[in-house]
Amino acid sequence: MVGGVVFVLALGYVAAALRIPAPSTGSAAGLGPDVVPLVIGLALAAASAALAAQGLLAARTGGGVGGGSPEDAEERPENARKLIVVAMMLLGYILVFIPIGYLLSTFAFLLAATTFLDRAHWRRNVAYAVVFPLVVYLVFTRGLQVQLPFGILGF
Amino acid sequence: MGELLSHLGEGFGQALTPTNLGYAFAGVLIGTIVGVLPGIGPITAIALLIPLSFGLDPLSGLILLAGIYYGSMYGGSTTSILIRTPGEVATVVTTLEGHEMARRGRAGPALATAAIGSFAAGTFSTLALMLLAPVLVTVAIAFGSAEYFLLMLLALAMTSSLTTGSRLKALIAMLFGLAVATVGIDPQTSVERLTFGILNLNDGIDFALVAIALFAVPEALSSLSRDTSAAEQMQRIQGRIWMNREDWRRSVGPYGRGSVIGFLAGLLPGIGPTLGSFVSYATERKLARGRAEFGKGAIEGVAGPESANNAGVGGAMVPLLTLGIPGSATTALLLFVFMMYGLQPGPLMFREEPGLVWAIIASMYVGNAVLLFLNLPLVGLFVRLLKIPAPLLYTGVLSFAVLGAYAIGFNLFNMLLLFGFGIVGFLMQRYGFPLAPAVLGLVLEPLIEQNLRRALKIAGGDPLTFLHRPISLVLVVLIALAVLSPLLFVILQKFRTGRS
Repeated sequence: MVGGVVFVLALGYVAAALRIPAPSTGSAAGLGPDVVPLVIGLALAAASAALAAQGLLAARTGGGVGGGSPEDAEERPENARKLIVVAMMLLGYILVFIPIGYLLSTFAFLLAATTFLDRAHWRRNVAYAVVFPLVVYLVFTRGLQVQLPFGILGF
Repeated sequence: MGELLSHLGEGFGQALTPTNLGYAFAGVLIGTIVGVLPGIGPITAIALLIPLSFGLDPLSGLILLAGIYYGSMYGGSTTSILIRTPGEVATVVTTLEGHEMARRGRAGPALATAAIGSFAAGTFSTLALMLLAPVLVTVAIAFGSAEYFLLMLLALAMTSSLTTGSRLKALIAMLFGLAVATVGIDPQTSVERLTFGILNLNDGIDFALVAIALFAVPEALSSLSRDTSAAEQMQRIQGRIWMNREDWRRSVGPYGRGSVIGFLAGLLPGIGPTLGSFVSYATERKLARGRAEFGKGAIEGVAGPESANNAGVGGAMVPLLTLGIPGSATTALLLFVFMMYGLQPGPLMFREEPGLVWAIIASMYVGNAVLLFLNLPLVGLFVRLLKIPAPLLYTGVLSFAVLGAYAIGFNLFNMLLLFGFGIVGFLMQRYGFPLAPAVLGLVLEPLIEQNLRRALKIAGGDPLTFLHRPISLVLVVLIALAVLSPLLFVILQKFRTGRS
């Protein structure tokens, strides 16, 4: 399964590599800009095809090794709902980071995520969501001279 | 020898200025703190903290990040001993005996022997680096593009064949890294490659960004979305963090053997430090047969691997500094930092920037000493960090990753790339694709391609150029061996089991 997905992606990469234009100033000796990407793409396609084949073979003989299933059977797998919600919160945080500024967006992200994951300790969560961005903001803007977005707070 | 000493003297002069001493101290402290946090190893620590060094001058930035490197190596062993959660593969072995010692009320000696072993091994490997590096540099100065191309290919071949998991998956991960690195304007012909017309991709995909995305985001997402269960019981530290006479007697041998094994293994690209600590554990176990309590908290099993682990750092610095070739994901990050400052590690850097190189080497001594004096008294304090609740810790990591992505390009596009590569990294981890080969491929691709094309151009397009020079011919043979030896090994094993 995984091998198949990577294989399709590898073919897409090869197709894109084939469309790399030739340089305007041609040189006789030496490689053009498309050769190395093509080699990488073809190797990737070959390796993923081998992985897919390995997976199919293992599935036929009944062994679970190789292709599809998650490799390390950890005792505590991720909870899919939590994973999706946290990932979406992260995406939301990224999208509002510049428009509303570092302090506000970080406060909102930390508060939302920690509350979602652990509602019982809400006082602790609020305190964390206030203190963490403030400390980081001061360290970066004052100590390291890296400007962070002000956003709508205007400071 | 005299030249060496004068270089080293100058190096110490620079490393011991109050500013640089401060950065070494800060690096080791931050590294230890971050390394102690569960699930965050040296690679994650350096990736996340690269943005901190953006505003610093090269020497200070490198001293800071190198300090973070060994600080987090050491921090990882503390968690291995106390809660059986190694920060990375290299400290997995420490959990075996270390955690057993802690369970039997001997956490103090275990932590002490880890700290002292790390110091001894760090000092040994820095010394070995100092002696070996100039020799390698005199050889490497004769290397041309053909040799460099082959050396890097060798590093990649070894990385994907010396893996602990599926070799095919490691190979795919490495090719993925190479593929990502080809995006952007080709520096030699100015042709746009694989940018799909997106202007933001013209400069390529930033290495630090991918490193943060692959090493910090997946770990945080995965830890946050796991249902909380009874956490691993943390072992209390009873008594002083020091060793008695018997502990010393039993630790000294493993320190020595671990240092040598670790340094030699660290020279190899791929799984250097991990290999070293595993081999050291196996050696101590074999030597102690019949008399020591291996599996029930033998101090040799902590002293040896911990020394090997830290000696591996010095070993891995040898190919990085003398040839510009990283052997692990962590040294790949350091190589990136060098290049970020416009420095290209290799024999030329030794000639042209001796002050910088020797100051970095001197700072490794300093860092090791700081590590020892900082950690023995403060370990009780660091341990409290283990009590930080997971939701706070990992949302903080995510927030820091986003901040890092912003500081790299100051635009939304980079932050979205962080998200995309974070998800890719999560899936890679989930399906057993190692992340380190991807990072190695990513950092080496531009160098490999540049040297390959230059070598071919010099040879007038003749691919046989790689076989004509003696050094390059040897390298070709080594690459073939690295690729084929696992295969041969498998065939040999099949043959044996088939006969018996």
